[in-house]
Amino acid sequence: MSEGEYKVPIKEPIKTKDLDPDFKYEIADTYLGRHITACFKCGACTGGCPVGILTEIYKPRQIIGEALLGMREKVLTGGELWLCATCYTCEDRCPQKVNITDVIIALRNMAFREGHTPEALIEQARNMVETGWIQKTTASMDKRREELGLSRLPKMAVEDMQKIVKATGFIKYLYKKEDKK
Amino acid sequence: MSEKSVLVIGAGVTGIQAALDVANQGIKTYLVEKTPSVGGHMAQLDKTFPTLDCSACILTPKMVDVARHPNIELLTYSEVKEVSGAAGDFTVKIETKPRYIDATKCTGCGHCALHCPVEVLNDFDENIGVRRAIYVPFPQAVPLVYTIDMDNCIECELCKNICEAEAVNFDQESEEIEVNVGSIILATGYDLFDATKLKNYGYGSYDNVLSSLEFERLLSASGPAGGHVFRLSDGKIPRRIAFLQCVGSRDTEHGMPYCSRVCCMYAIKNAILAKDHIHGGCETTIFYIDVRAFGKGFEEFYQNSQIRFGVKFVRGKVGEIAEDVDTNNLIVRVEDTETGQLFEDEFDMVVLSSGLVPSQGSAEINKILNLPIDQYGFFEELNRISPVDTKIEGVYMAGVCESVKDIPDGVGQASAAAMRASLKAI
Repeated sequence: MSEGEYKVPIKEPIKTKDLDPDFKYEIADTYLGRHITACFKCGACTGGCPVGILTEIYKPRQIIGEALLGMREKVLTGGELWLCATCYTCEDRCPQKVNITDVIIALRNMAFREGHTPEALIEQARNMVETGWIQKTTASMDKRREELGLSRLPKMAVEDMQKIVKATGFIKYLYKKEDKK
Repeated sequence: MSEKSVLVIGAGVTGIQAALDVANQGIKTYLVEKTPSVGGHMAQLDKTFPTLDCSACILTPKMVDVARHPNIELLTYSEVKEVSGAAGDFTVKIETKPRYIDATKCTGCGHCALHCPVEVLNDFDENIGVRRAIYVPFPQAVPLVYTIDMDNCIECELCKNICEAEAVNFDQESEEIEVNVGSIILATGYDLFDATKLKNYGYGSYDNVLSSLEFERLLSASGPAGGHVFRLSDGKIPRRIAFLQCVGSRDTEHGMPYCSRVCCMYAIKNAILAKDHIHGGCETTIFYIDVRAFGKGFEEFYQNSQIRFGVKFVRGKVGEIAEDVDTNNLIVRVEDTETGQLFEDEFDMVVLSSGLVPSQGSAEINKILNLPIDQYGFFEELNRISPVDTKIEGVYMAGVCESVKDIPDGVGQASAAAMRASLKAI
């Protein structure tokens, strides 16, 4: 065997002093995350995950496992959370009736409140509030639609949406202080 | 009180042991069995874990003992219909279904089965092999008396013409007898979990996904393949076999939260036997959640399977199985939870290690006895220090009808129940 052929990925050891032992209870206290402690980490969720086929970094078992271990930082800021397609296959397969997809949503909620949402998603929410569409519409898009004989995109109820966002206080998560609104 | 006697319901290995232990104390014993032969599930097995003892070799002497014992009245192809009375004085009505064969005349020569034109799937072989409409479930059946399966018989009467002993009697009717017993032992055993409930494993729709008992029958020398393992889709010899653990056990989703206790060991045993039986060798992989090697000699067996026999173990519950439509090979998708690697692997055959569930027979007998059962259907014990007593005085239980257990545990419990039942009967 030549040198470098056999590679063992060496990871930093997990140190117990960095762990938050109450993290799992924090999740279990939320309605969506209430069954997380039933997990025995068999891996049936990952085995059936359609996102798992496409990307190596998303593994439901790993996220649940890390959450149970108390790796708060890694779970909430890692970004894997946001890859879930919420197809609920894992929930269907789980022998322990852990509602994995719901746990992922609960974790997303926590990450969002702490401001760890990927900027692209915030951008989409901002577009939604400002224009009513997730993607910004451009002049060239309108022109292209006209060429294809399609009608103009309808106007969305943007004002109502902005009222809702202000009333619920959601707006403060969308814009940082340095922004004008 | 009438003469001392005990009724044992169910003639698997547990019921057989209980009947022998009671009878050996000079107590009259009635042994009732629903199927045409005694032996139960143990008779279907090829070998037993962890010693790889031949199952038939250790069971058949007991089966013959039971048939020949002067104190045992063996009532096969019979069912308990009614129980009344109390401890020390039960009156039990037992119906013996018609075999359409005179049991006193039949010599078990098998001439009739050779001439019978009807072939049906053999449920003793888990519907892999075939039997005739006139049959014994397996060659070592006790009593060795043929039975006509009237659901499939076309009444051509070829068997009647060929039988030299003139044993065939199409006019036979069911008989009902009434016995008086002091106590009753339940040994109604288990059924295998129905794996068709797990849609992602494709059991029932993919030919090469087998249940553990089906694989056991393929391994068995008295089975449909004579001990040669082959694929059911094309008859080829499988070179890569996967064993999937915890199918219908430790599965809250399908209402089976308990551990079935035997699957880890029988899967390891089957993986070793597959290597033993397949000429030219084969590769066996066991996909497990945890290997529970808790019993006597189990851990050594588990270690040996890896060191001596080279059985591979992967920790991870399989997510799903897909079938390659051209080759009928099976693609297993699983995360190896020890490395975190998600991978797909192709196998020639997949064996599902299904869990044990309380038998249909337990539910039927409980319609008569009305015993308290737990949420899964197992009979409840009186209390933790009376594990063989049911909540009805004079009714005892042994084996898997009480809770899941392996053969030595079941037989041990049978002896305990036999002692308790004898004390009550005397």
